Amino acid sequence: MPTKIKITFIILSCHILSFGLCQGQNNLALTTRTPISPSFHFDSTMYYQDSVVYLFNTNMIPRSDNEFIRPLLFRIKLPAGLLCTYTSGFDAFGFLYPEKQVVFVHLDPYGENFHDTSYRIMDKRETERLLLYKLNTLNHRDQLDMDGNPFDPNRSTWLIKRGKATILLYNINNENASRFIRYAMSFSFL
Amino acid sequence: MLRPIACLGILSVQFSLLSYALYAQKNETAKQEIQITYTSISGITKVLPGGDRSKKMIVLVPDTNSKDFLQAIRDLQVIDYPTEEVLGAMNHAFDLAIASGGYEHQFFVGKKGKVSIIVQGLKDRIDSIANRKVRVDLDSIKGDEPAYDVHTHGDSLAGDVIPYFKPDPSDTDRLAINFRGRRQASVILSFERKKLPNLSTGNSTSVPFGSGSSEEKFIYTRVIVFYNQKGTIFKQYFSDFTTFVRLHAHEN
Repeated sequence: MPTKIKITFIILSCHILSFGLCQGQNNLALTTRTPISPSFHFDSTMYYQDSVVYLFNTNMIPRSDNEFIRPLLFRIKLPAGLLCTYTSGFDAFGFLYPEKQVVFVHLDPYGENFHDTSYRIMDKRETERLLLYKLNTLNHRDQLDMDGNPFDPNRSTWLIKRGKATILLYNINNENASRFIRYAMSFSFL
Repeated sequence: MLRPIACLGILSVQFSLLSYALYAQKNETAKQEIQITYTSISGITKVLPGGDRSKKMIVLVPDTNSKDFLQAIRDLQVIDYPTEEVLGAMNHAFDLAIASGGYEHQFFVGKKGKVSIIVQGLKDRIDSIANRKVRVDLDSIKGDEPAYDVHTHGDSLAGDVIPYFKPDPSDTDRLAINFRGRRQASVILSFERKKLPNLSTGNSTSVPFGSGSSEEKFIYTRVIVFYNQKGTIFKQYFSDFTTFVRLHAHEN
C-alpha cells in the first residue's frame, strides 16, 4: 500500500512538473499562437465569381478591465481578386488588391454624431492623417506598409463614411474605381 | 518747508513707479521666455509661449498646423515628453504585467518629471490600495504631483485564453474623477491582437467559391494607448513610440 502511494505521488509530481515546464515554455514562446478553442472565430470571407464578401462576425467579446466590450460587427462586399486581408485589434481592417490597390476599414467605437458621406480625396494630407493616426497599427512594416505605396493623385482615392465606420479606397485604378465604390457602399453593420 | 517734503514724496512715488515698471517688464520678459515645444506624432514641432516652465510635450495629433492642434491641447491630448526613465518604467511595467499573468500595474509620472514606484493592482483593475501607494510615493516621498498615470491591461495572453483583452480604456478608466486636476492624457500599456494575413491567389477564378477557410493565427504586439475621458486618442506600437521619442528627444 505505501508503495502504491509512493508511485501515485511520483506520477503526480511528474504531471505537475511537466505542466510547469509547459507554462514556462508558453511564457518563452514566440507571440504567434492559434486559439485553443475551435469554437471561437474571428471573421469569414466568402468568395464569389465576381465579388468577395467579408464578414467581421467574431464571437469573441474582448474585455477591458472587468468590462466586456462588444465589438462592432460588419459586412462589406468587395470586388473579386482579393490578395490578402489584414486586421489589427477589433477596429482596423485592410484588404490588399493587385497593383497596391487597398481598401481600409476603420471603426470608431467612441465617436458620436457621424454623418454618412462619400467623396474623392485629392490631397495626400487627408490620407496621411488617417493612415498615421487611425490606421497606424495596420499601416506598419509587418502589415500594410504604406511607405512603399504613397498617395497617387493619378489614381482614385475615396473616403466613405457609414456611421462609426470609415472606409478608405486607396490608390484604386481608375477603371476599377466605380466598382470598388459601388461595392463598398454596401457596407452594413451586423 | 513743505516743498522739499512734497518733492521728496513725488520723487519717491516716481521711484516706486519706475521700479514697478522695471519689475513688470522683467517679469513679462521672463514670462515670454517660458515656452512649450510641442511635437506632433508625425514629428512636426511648434513652439508656443506659456506654462509655468519651459518644457517639451507630445501633442497627440498628426499636424501642428491644423485647427485640431489647439483644440488637442485644450482636450488633454498632450503628455510631457517622456524621459528615458519614463520609457524604462513603461518597459518594466510591461514585463511585470506579463510575469504576473496579466495583473494590472500602475505608476505615475509627476509634473516635475519624477517617476513613482510601480505597483501591482488586481487582475482586472487597479484597486484603491495600489492607487494610494503610488500617490503616496510620488507626493510624499518624491515631492511631486501626478501629470499623468500609466497602467497596464492584460498580458501577452499566453495560450490565447479568453476573454481577450482590448487595449483601449474601460468606462471606469474614463471616469471624470480619474482626470481631476489633470491637464494631460492618461496611458495604457497593453497588447494589440493582429490576425496574420490570409493569403489567397488573387485570381478569383482559381479560388474555390464558397466560404473561405481562415486559418486563424494571431500575433500580440505591445502597444501604448493614450486616452482621455472621451476614449482612445491615439494608439501606437510601443517599439515605434520609443523610437519616435528617442529620435525627437534633442530637437527644440
